[in-house]
Amino acid sequence: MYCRACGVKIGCRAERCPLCKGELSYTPVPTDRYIPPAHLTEEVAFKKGTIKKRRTDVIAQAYFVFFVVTTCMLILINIYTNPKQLWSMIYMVVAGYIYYCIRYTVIAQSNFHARIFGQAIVNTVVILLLWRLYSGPGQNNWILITWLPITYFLSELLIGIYALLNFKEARKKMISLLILCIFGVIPVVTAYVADVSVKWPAIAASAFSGVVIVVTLIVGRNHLVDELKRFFHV
Amino acid sequence: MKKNNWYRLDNSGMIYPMVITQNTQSLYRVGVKLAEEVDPNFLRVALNTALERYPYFRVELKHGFFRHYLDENVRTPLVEEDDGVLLKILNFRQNRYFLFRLTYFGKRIFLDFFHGLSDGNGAMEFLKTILYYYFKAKNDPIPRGDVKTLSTPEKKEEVEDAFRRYYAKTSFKKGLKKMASGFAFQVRGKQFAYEGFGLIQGLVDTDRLLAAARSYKCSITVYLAALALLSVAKARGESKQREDFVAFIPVNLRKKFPSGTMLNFTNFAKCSVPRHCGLRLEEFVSFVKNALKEQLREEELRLKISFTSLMDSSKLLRYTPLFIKSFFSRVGRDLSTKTKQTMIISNLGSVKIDAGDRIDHFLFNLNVSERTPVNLAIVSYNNKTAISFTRKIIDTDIEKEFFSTLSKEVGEVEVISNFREDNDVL
Ligand SMILES: [Zn+2]
Repeated sequence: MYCRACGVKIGCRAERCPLCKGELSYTPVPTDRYIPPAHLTEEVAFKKGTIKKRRTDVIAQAYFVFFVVTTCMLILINIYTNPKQLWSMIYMVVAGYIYYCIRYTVIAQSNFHARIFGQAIVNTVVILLLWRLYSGPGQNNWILITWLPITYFLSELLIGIYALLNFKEARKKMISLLILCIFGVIPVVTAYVADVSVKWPAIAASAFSGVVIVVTLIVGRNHLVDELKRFFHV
Repeated sequence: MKKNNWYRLDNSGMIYPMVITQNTQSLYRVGVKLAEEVDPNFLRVALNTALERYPYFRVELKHGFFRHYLDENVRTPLVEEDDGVLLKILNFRQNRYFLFRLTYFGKRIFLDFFHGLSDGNGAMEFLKTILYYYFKAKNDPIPRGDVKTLSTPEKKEEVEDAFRRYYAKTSFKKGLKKMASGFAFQVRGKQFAYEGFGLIQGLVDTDRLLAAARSYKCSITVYLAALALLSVAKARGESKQREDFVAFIPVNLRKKFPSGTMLNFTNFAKCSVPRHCGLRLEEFVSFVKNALKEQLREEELRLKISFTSLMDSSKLLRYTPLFIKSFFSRVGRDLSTKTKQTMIISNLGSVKIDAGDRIDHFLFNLNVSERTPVNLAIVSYNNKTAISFTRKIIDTDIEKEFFSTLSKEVGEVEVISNFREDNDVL
């Protein structure tokens, strides 16, 4: 097939000229000779691409807009009605956390252990924020008693199991696991600082972190220096 | 637990992982059209064998505290049919964390490569090795020529950061002055709403192309770059922009600074043509030719090499945590709305492999961005030169101008398109 307007030969199956969108001819110049329709034999060069509209992105973006708008509205209502008690902040923290979950855990491309690690850190921040907003020290703080220890216990357990299941590649998870376990002192420290009524879950979770550190160091002792080297190389 | 290899990113490759976002990655494509339909089973075998020769491409991207690094990836790479979406974002998770993607469609094999890993030359070497083992697996005659195989020993040089090797202390200001150039004429137009770029490839006879370039007393690269800028000038002449037309031409530094590196080792030469000069090809050729000659001077190249090594040579930048560096790189990229180049024009040159008629031609496609929405890539093999425009805009007026002029100059041009514009629905 040829486009006489552009003066080029079209090398793939086409209904019109890709350059000028004009009609195609069977020959480069007008002729009376019969030419069989070439478009039936010419190759399809590329698959007809199915363009995805990136739905996951759209959901995350739509949620983000929803989050910003509702937060602003609630803060305004809050300030006009009862500025002493900032209940809208609780909404902001929780709704913001949900955004983090959608964007950085559900549709993220990072490794499983990196996503769990991120969740643990963000959970800690959310818990501490909620605790400051929701209740003062000395009270019966259920989020500190349950949520914080469970976060560390579960995330360390999940990364640990994941590392064992992919034992050949376990060294790649070692640094995240160790850092997470070092942060594992947070439950017990906050339990004592906030002086919560039930302390054993925090103590148990922090003790578990300690055990995981010891086990990781024993199992991965030959790889630790190497791992640290590549993590901190400049 | 297995002991794994890991690799540093080279000085030029370092920037690419920092500016990865959900919608942009620095990918490019090299590929080949064979004489026969591609057999995916042989291709899978070929890829796995080739990866044994290129352990530094069998990697995944990892975040360190100060910089990214490449960590050995023991998973098995996928070889799938191409879905027709040109240079689609690599979903690392779906791609088993590899930084390249090998696909096929009909008679074509496509290798999409992340720029952090290597430049076009490195990717092309890898593709040649894949082809070597593909033909070997098929029991076809083995291609000859300069191909890296398992029997050619791996040199230490292949993973060297050549920027480091040729780094020489230079004044920061002088380098910055050279690199931070003014803005350029920008190709504007309605852009595709979703992923996938438009592609229009023209196939021409290399001898005739060379003859045409000779008639203007210049190289093929200069000739095509001048013609591309002229096409922009003609197609977009009515634009009110006052900036000059600027072509960024990647320079393969291996030619001037001997190195066997398979990582990035290219730099850009900036060739500009004044906004209001005569719309004649001779004039465009002379501007591009002189600018390129000026920038291929050794001192000039050395200065740029040293400036590219800034991340390595500056203590302050080296010891800044990665997340801060990434943040500022991204902000810097997002803040500027103007472009420094009208078009990137990259010529990989002629591919040195001898497989006779079993290979029809090689192909090469560049990435495009919102600010540089039309780019041009050139590669030749066996007297066939593939000239590919990738674009992010719907209009094809520049390509039309280019190929209709080219067909008048060199005779028959065979054009194919992926008709991306048919798909765009917003
Ligand atoms: Zn046409």
